[in-house]
Amino acid sequence: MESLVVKNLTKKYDSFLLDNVSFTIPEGYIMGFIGENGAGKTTTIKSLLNVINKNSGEVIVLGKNIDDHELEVKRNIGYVSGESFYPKRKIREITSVYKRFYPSWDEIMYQKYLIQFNLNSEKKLDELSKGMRMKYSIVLALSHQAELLILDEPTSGLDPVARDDLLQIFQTIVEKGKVSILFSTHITSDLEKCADYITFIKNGKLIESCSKDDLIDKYKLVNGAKEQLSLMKNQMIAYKENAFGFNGLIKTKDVKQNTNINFGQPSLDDIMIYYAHKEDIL
Amino acid sequence: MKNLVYKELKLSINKFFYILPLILACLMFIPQWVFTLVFMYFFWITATQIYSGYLAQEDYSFCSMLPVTRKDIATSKAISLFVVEGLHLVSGIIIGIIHNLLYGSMNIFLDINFAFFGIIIVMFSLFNIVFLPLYFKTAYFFGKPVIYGVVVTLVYAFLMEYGVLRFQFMRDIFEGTISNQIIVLVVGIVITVLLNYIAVIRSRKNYESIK
Repeated sequence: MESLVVKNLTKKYDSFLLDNVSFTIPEGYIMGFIGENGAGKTTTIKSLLNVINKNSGEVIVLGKNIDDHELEVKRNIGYVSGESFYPKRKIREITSVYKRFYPSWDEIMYQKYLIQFNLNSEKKLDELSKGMRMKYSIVLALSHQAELLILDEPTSGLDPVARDDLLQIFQTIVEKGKVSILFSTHITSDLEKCADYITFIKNGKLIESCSKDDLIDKYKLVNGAKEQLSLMKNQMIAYKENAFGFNGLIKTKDVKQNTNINFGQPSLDDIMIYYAHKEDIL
Repeated sequence: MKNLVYKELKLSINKFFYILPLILACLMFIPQWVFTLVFMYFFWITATQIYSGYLAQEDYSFCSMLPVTRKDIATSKAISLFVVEGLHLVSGIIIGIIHNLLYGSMNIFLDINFAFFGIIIVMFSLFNIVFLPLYFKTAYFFGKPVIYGVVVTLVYAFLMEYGVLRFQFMRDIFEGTISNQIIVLVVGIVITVLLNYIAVIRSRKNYESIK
């Protein structure tokens, strides 16, 4: 069963178009949602949650259309927006209001996460660092037994240890096979560690949505001498010239093995960076 | 909806605004005064502060995390405003009764009586029907909606206060027999229910249509 199905999601602004974005998260998996700043990640997340009005498209969460069963569907989602809220209120006060919205609130689990993340419920949110505030938002999302977690840049502002802890928690959560996570981030190394699927958007358009391994297999890093550049220029997604030759990204299907050019495995970062320069050859 | 209203009253609206109605109602101890002014402080202070507080506290970010619809967010904010207006009204009634016991009900301008509170609830509703739908066109800018609401209520209160001062027939309606006063109050309640209902419907519609 699919935890989240997004079909042809479209949102038009005067200066931006989220254009027919579609992707699917199978139950029990983590999907990384990547794209550069302004690519439309937050717009996608807010549109699919009906936080902002979408122009068209269909969003199905755990088999139910969000437009027809909005409240029921949202109760099954843990959403971390990455935005701050109620800075002058204590954690205790905010939680006492927040938990009323969730019949499945698990107080024991909540208290366990507070201890695990070193959160003092008597502290006001503006007394916490950005990372600690993010942890608190995540604790809220995790404590009502949501079957789909939608996290908008949850690891930004966290130190490497906290990020690693969090990724461990995400993996533990999905291991049980019931919970799925959509996880937008710029820190693609986090996704290398824990994501099963990747959805990549650029300028509001979907570039790829597939398993992480498939995505990495679809591309090759390429480097060669200057004189070899002309042979491959047109097949490459983007390339950078340097004193010794060039580096670039190419689709695996466009690789010609008879050339004396070096090919390597790209990271998610490489794919994102070269796509960012697709129209703008360095 | 119940949880959202609870959130508004517990988290979003500062406790100060639950005490303020009683403090402001004490202005009714001023003898021979324009008592509609007492309730106007709600528009000038309370409504402005509550709605600017939504921005300062980043309330809409919090709402986006909750399992609620946009319609319910607008409705809960309107209902919470009505609750605080209700506190101003109840405080006004209590201090108004004490005022009449101390000084008697005779006043140069509107007397404090049943009809007076009918006039006051309509004044609140006029503010609501102007302010709320305008505010929910953006759910961000509150300055213009407050100004328009205040202008409408000032004109309305002026017409009522000046009318009673100037025209005997108005004094007869608003300060005549108890049954006349009660009729004015009942008519006021009907108008209030109608105007507030329209204010909520239009606010929900406007908030839903924000891009």
